[in-house]
Amino acid sequence: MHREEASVSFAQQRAAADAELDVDVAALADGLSREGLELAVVSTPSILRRLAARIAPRVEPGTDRVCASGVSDAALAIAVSLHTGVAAAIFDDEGAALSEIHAGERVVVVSVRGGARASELVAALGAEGHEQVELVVALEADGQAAEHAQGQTAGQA
Amino acid sequence: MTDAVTELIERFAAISPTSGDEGVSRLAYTDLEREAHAVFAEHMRRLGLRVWTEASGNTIAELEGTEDLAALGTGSHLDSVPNGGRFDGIAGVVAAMLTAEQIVESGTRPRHPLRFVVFAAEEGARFGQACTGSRVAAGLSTAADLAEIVDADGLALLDAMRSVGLDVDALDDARWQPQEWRAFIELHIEQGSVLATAGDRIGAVTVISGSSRFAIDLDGRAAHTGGTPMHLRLDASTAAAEIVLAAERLANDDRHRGTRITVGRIDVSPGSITTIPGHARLFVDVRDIDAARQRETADELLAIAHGIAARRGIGFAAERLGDASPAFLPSGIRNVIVEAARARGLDYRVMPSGASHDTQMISRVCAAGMIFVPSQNHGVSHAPEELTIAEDIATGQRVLLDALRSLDAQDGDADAQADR
Repeated sequence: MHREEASVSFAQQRAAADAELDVDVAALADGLSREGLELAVVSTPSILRRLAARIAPRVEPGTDRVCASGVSDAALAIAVSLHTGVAAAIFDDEGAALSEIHAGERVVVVSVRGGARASELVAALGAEGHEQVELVVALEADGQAAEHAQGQTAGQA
Repeated sequence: MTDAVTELIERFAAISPTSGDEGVSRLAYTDLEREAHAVFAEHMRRLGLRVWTEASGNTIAELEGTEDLAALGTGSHLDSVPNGGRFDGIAGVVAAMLTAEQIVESGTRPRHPLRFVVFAAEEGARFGQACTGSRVAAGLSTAADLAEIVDADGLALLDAMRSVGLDVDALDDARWQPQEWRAFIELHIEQGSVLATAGDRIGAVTVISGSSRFAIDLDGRAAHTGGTPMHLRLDASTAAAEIVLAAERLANDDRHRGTRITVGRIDVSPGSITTIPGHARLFVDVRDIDAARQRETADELLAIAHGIAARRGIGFAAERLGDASPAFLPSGIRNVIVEAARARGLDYRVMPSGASHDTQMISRVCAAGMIFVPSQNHGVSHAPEELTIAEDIATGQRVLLDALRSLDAQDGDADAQADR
């Protein structure tokens, strides 16, 4: 008897995986400040990896850089960069680039939970003439998955 | 206190047809398991606690609180694998019994009700499914689910439950209501050697590993061992061996720090020394603390195994046996445990749990945490050599008591939703 069957898979449905990730983030968030949660999220590989995978589809073909400023958002950007293969560009708190980025490049800004610093980076990159600057936030304020990326295009930022 | 620990451990160990080098055998849903639960229940009744048994077989003892608040809970299980150890689960129940005793004797009533729980059928050794009592409590197993399960002798799980006097018709009403529970902490032996090797006294668990389990069937050609040259064989056992080694390589590669793959059983047939095995069935367990990596690894191993079989001309089929995600435990409860250990000047370690526990299920109901105490003898568990020093259980119990008191002093119910 020769059988050929390899259809068994443990891949989860997207909705189930997202729901589990939200539960895990909530467990991690217990008792932590906003900054504490952001740091906890990016220093827990199983959560960072899944968050990066979840927002990676927002990095569309043709994107040149995954951008972020601040420690936690930079870690998320690098995770997304590893997942997608798109280069990362990291900025300091004043918005100065700490790594390579060029005028006219199409960029996406990623952030664990959004906020003023991420929005300012989007505005600065838009003002510098980057194409289709988009902000992708991984978690809403309550720690749940952010369902909608906050998009901005060059000239509007 | 160490003497009290030893006395209770010995008392439970005696409820077994085996002893000494043969270990403890107190399987799920047997009279022996119920006898052990009865010892717990009697101890708690003597302390003045209200005791009841749930349809799933879980025994709960409640000490009333002074305020109308959700309950704080602690406990573990009293069933064992065949020829198992004396401490797995029992340590947590003994800690719960001594905690109840100390709180009652202190004369200071807690604000929250305290519930001391013995879960039924934590071990999957008899029916395949582990944590049956806590799964029912968490709503993860219904009567319909349990109706599908039989043991190796063909006895249905529900019939086994009936035979020990449980009301299986009430199973679906035995689900715990989240609003009734503020938090739950389980003390358990580590079942590994991390704490003992590091010299730490307490483990505060961060995440409980998940597992993806599957069986692989390999179909070769049974033939005479003397008459069949090596190059003309379709040997299912050598394909199985290659798959086992591939699994080991996969789990040891640098993408898998924290992954554990085990081929715990290989059935080879026809099982004759003079016949080339025509069939092999492998049972594979992939455990991880990373939910995504766990599934990716299981799928990667399946693909590798399929490739090995194809290259050898061996038929391949796979069957999914189970899939459970890792459970992160709330950092708030863990911090309470860590603070309790720190306050007593104990060396502690924040660590994952490789084994599944009832708390994994209960974390679906309320904020939950785990305290590990060191396992000796290289961390051996599920075997007669399983050993945890009574003093370490007593130390863990003190941390458990402090942690429960700390939670009791917190505002409590307002925080409950935030913990989940």
